[in-house]
Amino acid sequence: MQFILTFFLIATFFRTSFPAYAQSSAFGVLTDEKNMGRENINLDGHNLASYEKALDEYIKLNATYTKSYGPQKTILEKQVLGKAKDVMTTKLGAVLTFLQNLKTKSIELGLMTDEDKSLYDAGLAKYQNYAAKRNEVVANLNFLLGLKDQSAVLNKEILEEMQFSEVFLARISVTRGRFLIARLMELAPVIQAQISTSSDVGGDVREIQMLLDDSMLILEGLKDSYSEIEKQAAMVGIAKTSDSNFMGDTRIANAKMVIAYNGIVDVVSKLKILYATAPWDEKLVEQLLFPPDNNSTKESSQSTMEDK
Amino acid sequence: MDDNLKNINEKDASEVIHGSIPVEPPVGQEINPDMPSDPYSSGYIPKPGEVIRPQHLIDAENKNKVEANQDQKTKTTQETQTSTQSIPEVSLEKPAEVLTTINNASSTYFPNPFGDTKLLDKDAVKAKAADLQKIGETVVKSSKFKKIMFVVLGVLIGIPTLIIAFNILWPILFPREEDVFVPPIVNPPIIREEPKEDKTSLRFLDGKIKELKPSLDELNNDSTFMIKLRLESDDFSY
Repeated sequence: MQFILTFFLIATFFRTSFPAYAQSSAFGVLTDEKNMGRENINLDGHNLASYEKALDEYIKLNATYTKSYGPQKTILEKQVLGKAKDVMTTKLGAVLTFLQNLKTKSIELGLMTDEDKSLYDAGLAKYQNYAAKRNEVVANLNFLLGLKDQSAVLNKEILEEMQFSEVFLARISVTRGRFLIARLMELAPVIQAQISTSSDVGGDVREIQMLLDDSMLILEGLKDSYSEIEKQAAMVGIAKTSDSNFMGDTRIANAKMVIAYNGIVDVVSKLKILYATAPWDEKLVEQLLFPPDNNSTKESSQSTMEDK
Repeated sequence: MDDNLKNINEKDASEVIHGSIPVEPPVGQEINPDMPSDPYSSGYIPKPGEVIRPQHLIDAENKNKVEANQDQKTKTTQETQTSTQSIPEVSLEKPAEVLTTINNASSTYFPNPFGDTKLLDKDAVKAKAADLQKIGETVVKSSKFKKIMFVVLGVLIGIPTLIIAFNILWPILFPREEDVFVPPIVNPPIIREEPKEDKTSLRFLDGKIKELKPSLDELNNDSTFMIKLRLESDDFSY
């Protein structure tokens, strides 16, 4: 009997000590008050995914907090504050990681001269100092009140501190964009030949042809867009002023590139479906494979164009 | 129906009714012996199915029978008279040679088919056959016949032999390129080439497009990083 009572007391003690129990129970006792359940205190090793995870957890916890009352609200307030601090720390850390990766990519693509490299390093060091100081400020926040303002200030400061990287970001985008345009344009004649063949044997290729035409027109327009972005970035240089908007143009151009690429993927997938389902006219296939003479081939191609 | 036939039938029908034309009883119908010679005048009532035959028809039949018996008697008397007078008539019309041929018919084998009036006997035919055999033997044994046969056999055997020999010998003497013997390659080297990918296939296109996906993702992530990080808004507006 004495043994059973001792075991029960020990089990009750450990059960109530788990933070998870405290978080799941609205009236539980928060035992990790020192760090308020924080998981991300340091700046190193964060990226966009860790920021998004922390933000997601904050949103859920904040939802529970808004529905709570009494002592539970007091306890949850500290947890919400801790999660908000996690969000800001991971953001600072993700930007730091992004800037470090951007330097590596620029060097790999040959877009960074020695002068650029020293300037970039200086900018990166400046940001590291800022992030460290700012992270201390975040750690010392004690109230949820005014958290929105703190976040707005933080975002504004981060944008200013990472401004030196935008030129390199634009250069990388232009290089990658031109590479993608060239490769997709190389494939365009082959895709067009596939569409023409499908049309000659009786396939309905109007939608596919329109998709390809749209994608190719976007790519053609992007050539000019990237040239313009490159010109602006060269004029502005690292000392970018806030009034230049080439970063916005870069984002728009890259978004268009994604649309064009997805369009071409759609074209190929629709051609696959067409090949799998279309009942080909065997006579037409024979004519394509063994054209009787040049005149008849010309006539058939003219009729195909007319059909289109 | 023909008009004439129709008229005749109508006429016959009217005559049968009025009893002007004799009517034959149906096949297998026997004449009633009780029927009077003139049933029309005597008031005789016929039995069902009985045909009333008119008197003039019965009279005509009896008359025909009598005439037929008289004809038969006269005919038999004429035949007996002609049989007695036939031999002297023939002997007067036929030539004497024919009579001798007929009389001697038992001693002949067959008539002469060449129009010869003389008849061949068995010995003469045998003699003629023996003569023909002797003539054949002399012809076969003659040198002229042997020469002719030699030429004929030479043509029949020699020409096909020459044709076959020409077909066999000609390719050997003048071989064409395809007829030249090429020794078979022993253990030919196995050439293992990588299958060349069709650069126009959809599969190739699909692969090439997918190769570009990582570059596109990096391009997209770099430019959208600031947006995804909510740097142009705040984090706690919930």
